[in-house]
Amino acid sequence: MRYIAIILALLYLLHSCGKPIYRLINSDSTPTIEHTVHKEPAYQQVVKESDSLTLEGQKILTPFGDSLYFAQGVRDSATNQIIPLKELNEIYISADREGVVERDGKVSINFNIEIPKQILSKGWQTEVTPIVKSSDTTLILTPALLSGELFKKEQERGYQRYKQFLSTLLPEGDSPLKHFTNLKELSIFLERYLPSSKLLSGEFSSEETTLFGLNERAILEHYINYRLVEKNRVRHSQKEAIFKKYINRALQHKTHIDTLIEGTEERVTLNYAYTLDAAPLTNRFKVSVKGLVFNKSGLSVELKESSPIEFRVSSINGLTQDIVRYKQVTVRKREQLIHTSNIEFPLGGTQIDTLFSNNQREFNTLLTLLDSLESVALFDIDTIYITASASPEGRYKSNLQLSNRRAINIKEYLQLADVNAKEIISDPKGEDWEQLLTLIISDPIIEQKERIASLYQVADLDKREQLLKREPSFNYIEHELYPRLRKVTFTIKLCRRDLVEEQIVTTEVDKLYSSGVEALKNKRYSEAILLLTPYKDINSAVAHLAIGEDQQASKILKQLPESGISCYMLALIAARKGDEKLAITLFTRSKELEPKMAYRGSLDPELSVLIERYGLNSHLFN
Amino acid sequence: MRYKFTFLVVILLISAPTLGQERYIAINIPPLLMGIYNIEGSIALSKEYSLHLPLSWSPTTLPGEKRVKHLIGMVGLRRWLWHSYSGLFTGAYATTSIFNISPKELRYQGEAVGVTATIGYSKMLSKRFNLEFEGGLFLGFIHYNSFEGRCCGEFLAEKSAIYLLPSKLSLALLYLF
Repeated sequence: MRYIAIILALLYLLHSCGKPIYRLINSDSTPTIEHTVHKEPAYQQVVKESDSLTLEGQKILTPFGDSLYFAQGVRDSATNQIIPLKELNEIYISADREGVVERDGKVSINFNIEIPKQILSKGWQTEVTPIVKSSDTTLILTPALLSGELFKKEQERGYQRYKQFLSTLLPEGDSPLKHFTNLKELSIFLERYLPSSKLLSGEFSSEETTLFGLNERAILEHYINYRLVEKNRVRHSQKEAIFKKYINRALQHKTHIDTLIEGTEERVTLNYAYTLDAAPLTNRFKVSVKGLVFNKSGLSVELKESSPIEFRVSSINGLTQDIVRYKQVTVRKREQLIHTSNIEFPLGGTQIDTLFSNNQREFNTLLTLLDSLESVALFDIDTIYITASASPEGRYKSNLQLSNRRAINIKEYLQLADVNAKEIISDPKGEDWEQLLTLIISDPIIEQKERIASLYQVADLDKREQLLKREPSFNYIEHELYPRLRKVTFTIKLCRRDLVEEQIVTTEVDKLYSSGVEALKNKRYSEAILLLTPYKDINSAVAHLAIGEDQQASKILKQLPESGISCYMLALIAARKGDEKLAITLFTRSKELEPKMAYRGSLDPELSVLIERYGLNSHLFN
Repeated sequence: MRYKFTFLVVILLISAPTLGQERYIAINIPPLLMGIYNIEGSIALSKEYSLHLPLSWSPTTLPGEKRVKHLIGMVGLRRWLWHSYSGLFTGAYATTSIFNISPKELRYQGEAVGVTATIGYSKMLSKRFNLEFEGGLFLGFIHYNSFEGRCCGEFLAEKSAIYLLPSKLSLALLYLF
């Protein structure tokens, strides 16, 4: 009797452990995916899901009498299907079966995933993930989790144990007085030797000391149990390791469905309704499903990817017209280029010294610029004006002579460097008071700018300089602004080689418009609207229509000359508004102007419904 | 003479100009329960050192002429690990005593002088009370005469030697003031 009981107990244990997971490795069982079978073709309605579902960890009783662990799925008792339980946010129209429609830059898809019983078990968690593949894009959608009761229990137990561990941790950031101090002995000590101390309230005073010179900090240090502090710190650092130890498979927070299964089902069918961004997808994309099975210990087996199903997308941007626009451009024979250099001279010096300060770099930049102008071979250099300006230090006359001499020396330097210009003219500026005023006005630090500006009424520049020196901000001006005045400006007058007239007007491709059309074709609708709106043509109407701005599109279309496409788009807008009569009239007119619009009509569900209902394309089959 | 000396020390202890306000009087409980009078006075000298004057006196003759008569006087210093009158400490005392004891069928009467080294722990119970544990070893010179019987017997022998003996085992209650 005793032995029978032992054997029965062992058998029960083995049974309750569930199926061994290694059996899946050589198994062909895999979830499969199929299009949702709709009762009515054409004008379907699907529920738009909200893709930020959060776990709630509650058990609820559904209207169907099932009890579920998380309030996210409900079993349809008629079809044995688990469908998401959520509020209806918006209704999106979807095309029939494999065809889907892009609206407002989004595509809604609907499909079923069937999970066979071979990959379900009480002791497992089965994760199915739909994968969307377009030509160069792969999107991984939120997975669905089906957990067996035993698996869930083990997971819950793990979380309980982890929670218990967490409850033994003391907060790290708190004052050590709270958790790590022998408060009883500390308070007795303070009572005896430092009764005026406010240490127990957390207030430290550096002046309070005992008779033997012990301060509050030293007293507290003695009564803090650092061993406990260290132990707590170590336990905190072990949080991650303990989590991994107790919890073999963590709760997943972003799931489409997370539900409990009995493990005895023949199969489970999940319905997925998803809204994708249309931009990364091409006109055709495939959806397949991948499965992953975890057992209670966290061991996992990846299943084969299922065969995919295909979706075809029809979108409004298919109506984009390949229009190239041109614009007029005025090309002038004579152009001007201004280049500023910080060529520096020693104080009072006029000789060019390429080794002084950054002069080497400045000359290199200038010569490189002149060389590149030559190598481009579009321009000839007519004249180079060299303007050397100085800061106001010193007498005006001597500054003028100095900048004159410097400009002449630079001119000689350029001539020696064989710069290919017809003429090089030195144009000395002397003290650049205008620039100084500009700098002062725009400077954020200088105060009393009006007073400084009023100094400019003094005509004698040397006198003006003396008055400026008395200003409180002169030190700043001298150190920060004066150096910016000491520069050389090269005004390079250019002449186009290939032009005889002073100016001509040519046309070139309007690149902005082309970019707008490109953006429209690639479903970058907001960019397309920005670029195309000024043109108010058929493509800008397409852009507005693609994101549902029907009124703007309608306004543009009504101003354009009548064409097959414009009538078609107006028909679409009328159908969306619910004006069937107008929609039919406009659609018929569009077919008259452009017969191929009849075929386009079947791609857009707003019109395909009317086509179906009123036989508007019946002539195609006669 | 000896009593006068002891009395003087106690008076000095109580009225000594205060180096600190930390002073205490302690009573060793187990000996008291056995009828041995004892008292210890102490003054804290600094955070780490304190001066101690323990006294133990027993005039008692137990039933059956069993004698445990003695007078022990010590003066010593303690070094505290953390702070005077709190936590672990070590002590060193100069010890002197006279005794007249008859543990078995013989009586021993003599004097002892030496040093006692101790280690102990003082636990703060409240603002004014501590509970203290202490134990140590005595190393010193003991001279005694032995007599026949527990009382008034014939002189047997005289002995002098250096002894190492356990000493100052105490569980004391302190009152601080």
